[in-house]
Amino acid sequence: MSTEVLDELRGFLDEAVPRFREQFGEDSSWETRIAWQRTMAEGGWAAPGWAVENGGRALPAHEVLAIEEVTAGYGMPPLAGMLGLKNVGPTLAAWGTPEQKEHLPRILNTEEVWCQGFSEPGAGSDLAGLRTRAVRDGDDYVVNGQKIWTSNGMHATHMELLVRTDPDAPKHRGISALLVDMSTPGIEVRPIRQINGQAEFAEVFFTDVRVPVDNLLGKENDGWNVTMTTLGHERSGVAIFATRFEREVRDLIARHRGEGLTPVQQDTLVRHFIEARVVAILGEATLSRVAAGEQPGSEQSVIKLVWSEAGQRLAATKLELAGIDAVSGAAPEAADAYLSARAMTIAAGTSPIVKNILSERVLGLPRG
Amino acid sequence: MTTTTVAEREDLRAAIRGFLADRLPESTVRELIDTETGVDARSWTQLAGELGLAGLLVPEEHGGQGLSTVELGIALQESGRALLGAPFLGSAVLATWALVVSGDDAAATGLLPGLADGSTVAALGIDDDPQSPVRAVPDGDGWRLTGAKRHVVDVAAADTFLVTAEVDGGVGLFVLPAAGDGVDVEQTASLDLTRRLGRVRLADVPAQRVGTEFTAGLASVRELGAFACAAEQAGIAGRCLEIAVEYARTREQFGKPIGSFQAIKHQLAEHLARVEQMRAAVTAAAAELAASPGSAREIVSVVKAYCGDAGTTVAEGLIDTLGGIGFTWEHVAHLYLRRMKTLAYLFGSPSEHRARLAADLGLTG
Repeated sequence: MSTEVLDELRGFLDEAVPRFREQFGEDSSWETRIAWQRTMAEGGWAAPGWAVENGGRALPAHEVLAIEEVTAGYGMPPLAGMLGLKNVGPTLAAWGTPEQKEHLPRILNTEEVWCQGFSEPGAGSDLAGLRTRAVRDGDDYVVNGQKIWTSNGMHATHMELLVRTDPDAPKHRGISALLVDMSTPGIEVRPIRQINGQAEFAEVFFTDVRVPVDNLLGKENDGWNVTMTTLGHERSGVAIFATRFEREVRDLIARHRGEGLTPVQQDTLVRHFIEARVVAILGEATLSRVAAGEQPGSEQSVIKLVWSEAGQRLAATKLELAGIDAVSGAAPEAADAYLSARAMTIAAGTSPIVKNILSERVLGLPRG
Repeated sequence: MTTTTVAEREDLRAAIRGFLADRLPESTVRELIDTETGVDARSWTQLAGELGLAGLLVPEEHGGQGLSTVELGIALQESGRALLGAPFLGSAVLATWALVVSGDDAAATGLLPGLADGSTVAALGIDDDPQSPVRAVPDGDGWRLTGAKRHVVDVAAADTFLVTAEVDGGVGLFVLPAAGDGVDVEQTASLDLTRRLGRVRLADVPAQRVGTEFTAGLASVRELGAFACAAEQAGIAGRCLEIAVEYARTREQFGKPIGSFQAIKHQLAEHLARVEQMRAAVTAAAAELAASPGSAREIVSVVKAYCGDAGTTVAEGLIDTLGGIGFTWEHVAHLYLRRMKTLAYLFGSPSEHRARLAADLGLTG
């Protein structure tokens, strides 16, 4: 890792963060996150992993992680358009036509906020079973159907949408990826209220929505391969979560040091520390393998499985440490985090699905 | 210290694995269980000579390879995987490292070349019998030792003992021949049938002191010992998973391979996650011990605690997958479980290392 890059980043943040705070304070609303992304983009730090011609710095994954770690140390909220920066952008860069790649600078500067229209009510774990239809009509596709669990769906200006273009083909071979402007007539977005009362996801309804054929990403009926690019980026993100998880546990331990914990509570925290340290080691190993130009193997699925389950246990421990306050309303953050953590083993591949992937693709066990 | 490339390390792994698969098949492992020492002396000489395993940690000027914990971790994973019945851990790792860190040039010059070529086999006694801790009293140019050490690894194969004793409020390291008058060696009924632990009783036995104050040396040996156990466990766990997967692919019930049932698949996927984490943790600990042993305390406890628990779960899981056949004496599964479980307790159990972490992290105060 070149220290000059991190020095440059620190120089930028030392100047930008106080100025930003003066205007926005400790607020972490969507609007503030948009403004912060714009600030980071102006400094060239919103997507340091992107190619230089797309506005990035072409840095390898572990250096991007170091940048994110340094930035997180300044206590700033996450960038608004993470799905565009992390998942959709790299997919556009890999599959897009020159015209389609013109979205990239707009993703960086927040002019466009992207979401992913993948899951459907009938297609969760079995994503390839999706049924939202797109029928060719002249220079347009006409889309009808419904998406669900769309992160940032309420804020998005654009969507990477998976549709079925050939209902007669085997299910993986009849899917296409479309780039959709969310202001197109016929699109209705409704928030989904989650178990913690918040609404970070939406369901999106499509009724005779006309999408220009020029907005087809990749070839018609080759959308599954496009999807794999996006999901690959989504899953590589967990290596970063894994290293961040260790810091979360260290912070928790630091907060409770000297509090007269019971021996059981001490041991519980140490068990979390061991779990977090080991999964972080796996995350670091994966990132350096990616940095060396190697294909990551099964580690990402292992990390997803282990990190998500350890994260749920940690959330339960935070509640336990809060004691009766956890349920009386006196420790709302611990309660919220506990409820939110139920999503960890569902989103981006449920634990049973990850175990199927590991047992079939890595261990070579037969399909049931 | 000699350093190796990734490719050289993979070559080392393949060479050890190939050698052990050839010379130490399961039938030989079982024969060794019934022998007096549990060790195949001829194979050990070959392992020492052809692969240089005995001298892996011995500095080059004393006839060894001068390698680090990075390569040692690989060798230990392979020795665990093969249920190696040779004094690798006791002699080539623990006793050798005690000599290396003793700082005693004369003792190193005298003993390390023999340890490196396998002609000398040493065992290290550091765990006092609380009823009769080893005491050292000066005797002319040398010392005389009385007392007992427990849990001495590879005790039966050793011709030389290194033992610690309290001296002037500190710790001293002493060397003595295993066959001398007043030395009584007793093998205990170890859970692990492939590695002999035992008790060494000393009654006014002449010994030479090695180096001076050994407190720091002893701490270094304990860290290396804990790491070594975890590394062996990673190798054992990897082999247990392979056996379980192979069985699940071929064993049929209800007209299908049992590995097609999700109940089995998901268990094996969880074991895969454990094995991958054990390997990654061992690799990270090996790198830390090689680069900055002084700051490796935390990672050593993490890896020892993690591998002790996760490794045991994987070995138990092998028997679960096998079902009835896995509960038989004839199946190899219990040999792995016995070795795995024994390693979990040597050099600090998982709960002892968690307690150490709790103190180091400032949680106990």
